[in-house]
Amino acid sequence: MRLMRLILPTVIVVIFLGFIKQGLFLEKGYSVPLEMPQEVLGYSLSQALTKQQAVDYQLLIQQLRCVVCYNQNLSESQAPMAQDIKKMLLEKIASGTTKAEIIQLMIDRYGEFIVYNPPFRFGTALLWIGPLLLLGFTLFILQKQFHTDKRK
Amino acid sequence: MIPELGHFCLIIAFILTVIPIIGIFYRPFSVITRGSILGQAFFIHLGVLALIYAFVQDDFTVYYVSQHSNSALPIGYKIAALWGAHEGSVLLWVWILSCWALAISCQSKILPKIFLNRLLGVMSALQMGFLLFLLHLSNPFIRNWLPNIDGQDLNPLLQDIGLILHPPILYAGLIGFSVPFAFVMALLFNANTQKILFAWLKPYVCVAWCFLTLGIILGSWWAYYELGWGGWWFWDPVENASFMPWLTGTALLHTFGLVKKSKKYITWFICLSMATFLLSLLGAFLVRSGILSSVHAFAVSPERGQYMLVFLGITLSISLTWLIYRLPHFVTQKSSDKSLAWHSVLGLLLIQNSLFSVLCATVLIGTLFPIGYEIVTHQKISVGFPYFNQVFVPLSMPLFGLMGLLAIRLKKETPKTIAAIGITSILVGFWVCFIFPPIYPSWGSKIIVGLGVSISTWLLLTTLKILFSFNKRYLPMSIAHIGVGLCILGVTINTQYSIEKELKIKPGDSLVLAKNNIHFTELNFLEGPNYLTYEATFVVNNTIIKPEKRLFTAQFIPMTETAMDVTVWRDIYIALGEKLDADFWSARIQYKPFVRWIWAGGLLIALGGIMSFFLHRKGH
Repeated sequence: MRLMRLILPTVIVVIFLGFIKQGLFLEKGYSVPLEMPQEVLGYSLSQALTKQQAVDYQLLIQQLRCVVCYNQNLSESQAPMAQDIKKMLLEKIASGTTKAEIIQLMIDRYGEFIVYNPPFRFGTALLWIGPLLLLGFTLFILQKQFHTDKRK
Repeated sequence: MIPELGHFCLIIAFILTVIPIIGIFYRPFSVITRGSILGQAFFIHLGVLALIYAFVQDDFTVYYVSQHSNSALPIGYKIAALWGAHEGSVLLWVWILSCWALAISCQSKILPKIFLNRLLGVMSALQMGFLLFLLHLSNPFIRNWLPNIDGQDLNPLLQDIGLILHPPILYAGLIGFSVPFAFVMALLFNANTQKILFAWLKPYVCVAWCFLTLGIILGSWWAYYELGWGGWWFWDPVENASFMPWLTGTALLHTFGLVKKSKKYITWFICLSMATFLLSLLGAFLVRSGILSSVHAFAVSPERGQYMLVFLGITLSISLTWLIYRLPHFVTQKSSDKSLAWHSVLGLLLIQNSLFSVLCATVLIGTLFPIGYEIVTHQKISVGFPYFNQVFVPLSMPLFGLMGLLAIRLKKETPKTIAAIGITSILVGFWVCFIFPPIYPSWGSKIIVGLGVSISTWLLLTTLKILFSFNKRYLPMSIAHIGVGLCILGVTINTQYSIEKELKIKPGDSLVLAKNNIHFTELNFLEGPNYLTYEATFVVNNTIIKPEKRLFTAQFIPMTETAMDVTVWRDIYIALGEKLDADFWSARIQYKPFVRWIWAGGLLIALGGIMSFFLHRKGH
């Protein structure tokens, strides 16, 4: 019985690991595609950018809003305007502008509406701290609950 | 003639709603409360049938039909077009509410008569509000005195199996939470509550919650394949509007255990029930007022927004006043004196409940903040995807930890076992994030993968321990929690390992994406029933898939029909973009690992709810 207890979880863990391994790539790292048509934006991310720049670019197009769509970010938008902005971002990133600078530039040009996570300042403090305050408050109440109950 | 009859039926139903409301206060009227509920349901069904008839008969003299149907539309979509736009979806809302009220009045043998009448009275009051909205501001039966030869088409985005299923199921869930709301309103009349009442309520909450869960999954799946960008959740205000009631609803479902143990949690139960339904109403307001810009928003009209806001305000203020007025009678009850440790099952349930509330409040803050900000500063601001990922996701982590702990506590495991499982799961997480680095292997990304996989492993291992105890009582809970585990695994891996390429491509091109050979063989121009289409043929590892670019001829709306090669492990997702020049097209080709696991997990969660429903019924 005790052996069973050890074996069963081990088997489950191994199967689980196998699942993930099967689902991701079969070997370490990624094979660089040999033949790949040109990307629409005219760049191949892996060729034009360093790894860090590619990460930055991905984050940027995820957190910047498409100005002409209802509620989509640049990464999702197919609008011509979004394509233009993406192209501009790529060029900026490739020429060495940092992510923070680009975000500031976009905010200057389009207003804070353009970023999906508003920068932290006095006006948006409630947005960022509010949930944490709530959590603290709730934990305080809870702790009191457990406390008084113990005293009884 | 038929549309006018339908209209008239709705007016009769509206008049009938008055009777149960009077019945709450004036006893003699309550004799016919159940009859009136039956009558409301009957007439509302007739009204719905009348509108369906108008759609099927292509009666384009009815304005709503002429706007949202077309003679070339397949018959299934004609019926589903009933809830394809604002007016019809309000009718759907009213219809489902009448079905819930009917279900209550039919399944009420064990309820005290007076309690039942109050319950139905509150339901009728809600129904009255919605019927007034329907008749006054969104009447689908209004005639079009300059009849069109043919109708405008149904929005092509909605011509899809997703449309047929998603709204009714989602509404069934959202409106289903009116039952616990009406229940607690009726409960507040009398402080001497009996536990049997809660046992009666549980199946209703279960079913409503299952519907809501299914509705959200369906919505996510529909957005994934219909909107063409391969996302399944965007923290869009409309998505949040259905997610908030789900959060409090889940908390509510877990509160039954607390209420059963001790009466002092009844107040908490009442608050949660009220919050859940009010959040559903808030969602309806957000979606219909156009106050937030969203991909899914309905046609915008300030009048409708105002009505919904007033209705929400009245419901909120009446229910809150009633709660505050009656609450002292509940609080003075002697509470049980058992000591409560945080790591007991009851204590964990309590913490879980609080965390759910905090999470819900977070989503609420994030959703409403832009509105408040604009009112105060007259500046627009966006709160979206990255904000929720940075705030909501870390806050939800402790919850998943607790879920596993709860499962273990139920079996009274030793700390040693807990530690062993914990260490194993952390090791698994590390193994995955270092052996398989994410697409953009920054530290943040690695930590997310490590944490996500650890947590899902922790959940799966702890829950499997419960599952293998073969106790029927814990079966629904284990299934649902395993679903949560799979869902987290899917979400983590999908967000961190997806590859997306936007390519300039022509027939004959081929590429290798994450070890999948993709070959673009040909492009054909075809004609569908109510659209023209470019149909591309891609071969993905010997499977043929055909993404399309359609042009719906009634309104000349272009639509992207995506195509996917699906396996358990990954989707290859292809959406045809624009025609760039004579040969080349743009196409968005994505590798989305584990994406099916997200919905599979969601389905398991709903399945857990359904099983709980049946086990509970059997227990009676």
